[in-house]
Formats: sequence, C-alpha cells, structure tokens
Amino acid sequence: MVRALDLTKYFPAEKVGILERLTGKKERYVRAVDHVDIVLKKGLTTALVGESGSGKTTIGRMLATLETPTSGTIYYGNLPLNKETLSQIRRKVQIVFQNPYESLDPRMSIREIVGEPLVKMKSEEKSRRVREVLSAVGLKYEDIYYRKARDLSGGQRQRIAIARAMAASPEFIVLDEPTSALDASVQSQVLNLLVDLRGEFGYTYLFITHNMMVARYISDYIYVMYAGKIAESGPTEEVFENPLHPYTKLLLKSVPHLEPGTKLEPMSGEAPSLLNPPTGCRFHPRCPFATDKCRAEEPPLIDVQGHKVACHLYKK
Amino acid sequence: MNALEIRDLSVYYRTPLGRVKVLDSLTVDFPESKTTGIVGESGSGKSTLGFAITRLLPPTAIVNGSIRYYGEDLMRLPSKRLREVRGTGVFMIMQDPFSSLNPVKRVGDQLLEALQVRYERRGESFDYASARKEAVKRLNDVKLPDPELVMTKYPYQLSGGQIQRVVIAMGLLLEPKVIIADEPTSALDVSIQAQVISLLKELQESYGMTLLFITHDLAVATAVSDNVLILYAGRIMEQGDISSTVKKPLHPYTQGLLKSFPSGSYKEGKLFSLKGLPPSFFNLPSGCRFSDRCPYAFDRCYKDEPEVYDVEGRKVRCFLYGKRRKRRRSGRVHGSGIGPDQVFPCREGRNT
Repeated sequence: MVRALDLTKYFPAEKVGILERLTGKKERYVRAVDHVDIVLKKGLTTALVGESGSGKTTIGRMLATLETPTSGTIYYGNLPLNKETLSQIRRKVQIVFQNPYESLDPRMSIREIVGEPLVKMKSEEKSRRVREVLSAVGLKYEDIYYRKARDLSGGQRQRIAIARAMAASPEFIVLDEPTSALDASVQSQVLNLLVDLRGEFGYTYLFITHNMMVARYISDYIYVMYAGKIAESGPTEEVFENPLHPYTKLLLKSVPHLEPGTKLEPMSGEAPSLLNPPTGCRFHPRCPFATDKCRAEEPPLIDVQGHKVACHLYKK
Repeated sequence: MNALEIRDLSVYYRTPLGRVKVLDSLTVDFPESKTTGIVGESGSGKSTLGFAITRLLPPTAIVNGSIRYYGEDLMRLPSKRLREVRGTGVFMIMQDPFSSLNPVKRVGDQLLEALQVRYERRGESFDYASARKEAVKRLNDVKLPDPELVMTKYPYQLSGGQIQRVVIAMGLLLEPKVIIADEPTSALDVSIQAQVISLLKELQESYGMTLLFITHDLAVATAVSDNVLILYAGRIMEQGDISSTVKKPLHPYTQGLLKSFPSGSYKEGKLFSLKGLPPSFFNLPSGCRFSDRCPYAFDRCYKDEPEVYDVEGRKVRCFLYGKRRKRRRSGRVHGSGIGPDQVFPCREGRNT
C-alpha cells in the first residue's frame, strides 16, 4: 500500500545568515530520519516503535504528507508522491495525533470538526456522513453533535479525532501515539475500536508508539527505530519472541511487567544527539556487545531468521 | 512503625461550580522503610494526596483530617516547624523534572543550597569544600556520568532523565525520611524510566527510606513497590501487598485495570475494557463510585457506598466481600450471585 524508499529528513538546527555563511560557518542538521525504507502492507497494521527522538513521528508526518522528505520517494500504491499527485494522495491519507487536547479546536462543535474534511459535500450528505462515522466510533450523534471539544473527556476526544480521520474515507491512517494520553481503562477501549474499524473498513494503519505492549497487541508488522535508523523489523510475533538486535532485547527488558518480583534490567546511557550521531552503529555507546567494527562501520540492514536487523553480530 | 498515618483525610477544592470533594475520608498507614505504590487514573486524587502530605495544596483547597508524620500531626504544625519537616523530613519529587529546578542557577549551586539547609537544621557549620565533595558523590550515586561537569551546568543543558536524577540526588543530600515521588518517570522514555525505577528502588533499600510512588501505571507500581493503594474517584478501593494484589486482585476495578493491560496480539482476541469513563467529581454516582462501570454491580451497590472490608490481610471497598449475612447452601453472597472466590483471575477471562 505505502512504500517509502531511502527516506531521509534533516532539520536545520540553527539559522545561518548570509554573514555567517560568508565567514565560513557551516549549517548543521538534525538527522531525524536517515535513509530508511518502510513498507506498509494493505489492510495490515504496522507499528513503529522507538524512544523520543528516534524519528518515528517524523516518518509518520512524512507518510501523512505533512512534511516533505529531504530525500527519498514515497509510493502510495503505484503513485509516487510529488507536486502533481499530492492532492490525489492526500484524499487517501489521514492522521490521528497524540494529544486529543490539542488536536481539536475547542471552539468548534463536534459536527463542524468531524465534517471539516468534507468540504465538497452538500450539507445533507455531510451530516449523514458525520452521523455514520460518529456511530462507527461508538458515539451517539444526537448526544454529541452540538457539543464542543472542550466539554469532552480524553477518550471521547480521541474517538472524535478518529471519526474525523475516517470521514473522508481514507485508505491509510497514520496513528501517532493515539492512546498514550489516555488512562489505562480508556486505552483498551480505543485499541479495541481501532481493531474493529480496520476489520470493517479495511484501513491500513501506521501505528506509532513508544509502548511495546501496545505495539505487540495492535500490529502485524513492526519497525524498531533508534536514532533515526531502523534497528530491526519483522513480523510482530517474531520480533517479540526472538528479538535479535541488542537494542530491541534491552528495550523489552526495560518494560515493566505485571509480574511481581521481576527485576528491570535497564540499559545504560541515553539516546545520542542527532546533531552529532555516533560513528558506526548508532547504538554502540550503549551496546554491551560493541566491538571496534561497530564503532567504525555502520551495519547494513540484513535479513536474518525472517526479520531484518542492522547489527554486526549477525551475518547473512 | 509507620512513617505516616493518615486518618479521615478529606480534601475539597473550591471551584466556581461549587465545592468538590477530591479525596474522601482516606485512612491509610505508610509503614517505615517500605515502598507504597499509589495507583489511580487521572482525577483519582493521587497527586492531591501527595500535595496534602507535603501541605503544598493550592489555597483553594480545604483539608480535613489528620496526617501524622512520626506522631506529629502535619495539619496542625506551625509553619516554622513545617518548614523543617519539608525537605529533610518529607521530600517530594515532582512529575515534571524541568519545572522542579531553578532555570537560572547552576545545578551545583542548587545542590549546595540543599546541603546548606541540611547543615543549618542540624546545627552544623557549612563547609564549602566538603559539601561540594558530598554533592559530587551523590551525583555519582545516581549514576550521572561526569558529575563534576554536571555541577557546572544549567538545567536546560541536561536531558529529562538527567534532571530527574539531579532532583533525586538533591533528595538524597537532604537525607529525608520520606520521599514522595509523583509520577517521576512518566515524562521519560522507557529505557530511562527503567534506569530511574531501579535507581529509586536501590536507594530506597540501601538508605531505608519510606517511598511513596504515585503512578497511573500498575506495571510500574509492580516493579517498584512493596504495597499498593488503588484510588478511584477519591476513594481507596483496594489496599494490600503488591504481589497478591496483582496475582489475585479483589476489587472489580483492580481486576478490570489488570485485564485491560495489553498483552499478546489482537489476533488472540479483544482486550478487556471497562465500560464507560471515570466519573466526574461534580457528578459522582450514588452508592459505590464504581457501580456504573462495575460488571458485578447489584442493587445495593447503587444505593449504599460499601465500607472497607478485610480480606486475607488486604483491604477492599466492595460489597462482594461484605459479611455473608444470608448464606445460601452454595456459599454465595446473597443477592450478587457471585462470591469472592468466583471472581476471575486477572490473566484469563478475555472476551473473545
């Protein structure tokens, strides 16, 4: 459904004026996403996990056409993304943001919010569609259409955001941490809803999250990102049952479980600065198995035991 | 020995829409040198409890009841004595690490300031060189690399995980008897969260502090605490040691929370989810506050609020565990059709 090849996004780190350019100051870039390939299969959910600063949201924004890649191409079906195809592609793509307290206009009514993408529809048709999508996300039109987003709870707001994304009948929805601002008892409601909607309407999801257990639950395929690179990818069950990359292994050991008495095994150090990423493998300063080769040479993403992993410990 | 004994603590907030009762007659003991997890969803009153103990509630709050800190009632302390308890007696780690340090003072100066307070309160004279040494040692204890360098930095030059460690180091310098940590890890990444949790646990064990760990995540509470307190809409719903609470939760709310925790894949079936939303304090259900979301609710739950019952050394606020007044032959609780023994274990009973 969606293929992104050699996707890269650099953000300028500071303003460099003409004067500074003349004095020989070089521009510095934050390498948020660095040569990443991602393939999303139609009708399946692909999870993108990683810590803050790993570039997962930037990828989501690029795939949702909200950010232009520095280099690389994105194909939607067979259509490459460019200026001519942009409006055509945008019709098929929607995004749900992390924080439903910020992504909905507090002064618009729910009817206006959900109907906003439907600019070309006549008012009758529009209100029918709004009714449809609201009932699909489990809200009653009559109870809610006149209310403002500020009157609603977090779970209800996130349902509204999902309804808005559905309104224009997209094929592909980017879900950027849709449950991380919600309480535990509401999170499971929203996750169930997302699974149901996908079953009913055949959406393709890109599910961005930092929560490994949520990723495991919701996805068919998973990409683990570290510092703008893909560390490991593969079918979700396999990655969880047999993680290969040291980062994935350590990440799974850092997740607290509901098993009393299990000790967490935290990894040392912090995520690197993307202004100045470490040479070689970007994980080497935190990796317990790092060798000289890891410090010097960047590992390519290779096929190992059914997943892809970027680590010198593995050979083809 | 209990570090803190709370009796009938109620906290109200004055709002334009009237008074709301955010904590309702809380009675709880926090035993010395133990970690208690205080778990609840947003709006359950868990942070209010932390602020009530440190008496940092906003002026719109009205507080009733008593909080005894080693026998001294904090609610009735004169402000001079209260100041002495804060910091060196009870230390609080706030949720947002960036707002808990002064942005225009170097980290080292802020740590030394904390030390100066401790020296003063103990009547010792402040010696800059040895104080500095101690501060560096503590930064080392919380596993900050290059402590000498960190001392010279301003908070904005550090990451969230580093600042949270600086705050913990500051807590250690004050050598408090009680540390209240209000969601200290929720602004942090998983790998840093694991580091901070292990650190707090390690330090709690080696210094014998009493730790109150406020969190919305039952899994985090499981990793860090000995005992747990489950709050819902300002009431304690369940209280007991962590491992039996997680293995065999008593209250339907705790069971629901545990079951709704994602595990496995969507292919194995839907997640359990509690119906509805946590109630608003302006519109609390009559009877049990959980009654409108409870899968086992029966007539009485909508009418009266249950008291706290003792079950197997734990405490639970639920009629399912009330006195079995009219016992049927099957031994079930009259009227409910379900006894405590029949309540599902948490890991099964997914609705597929």
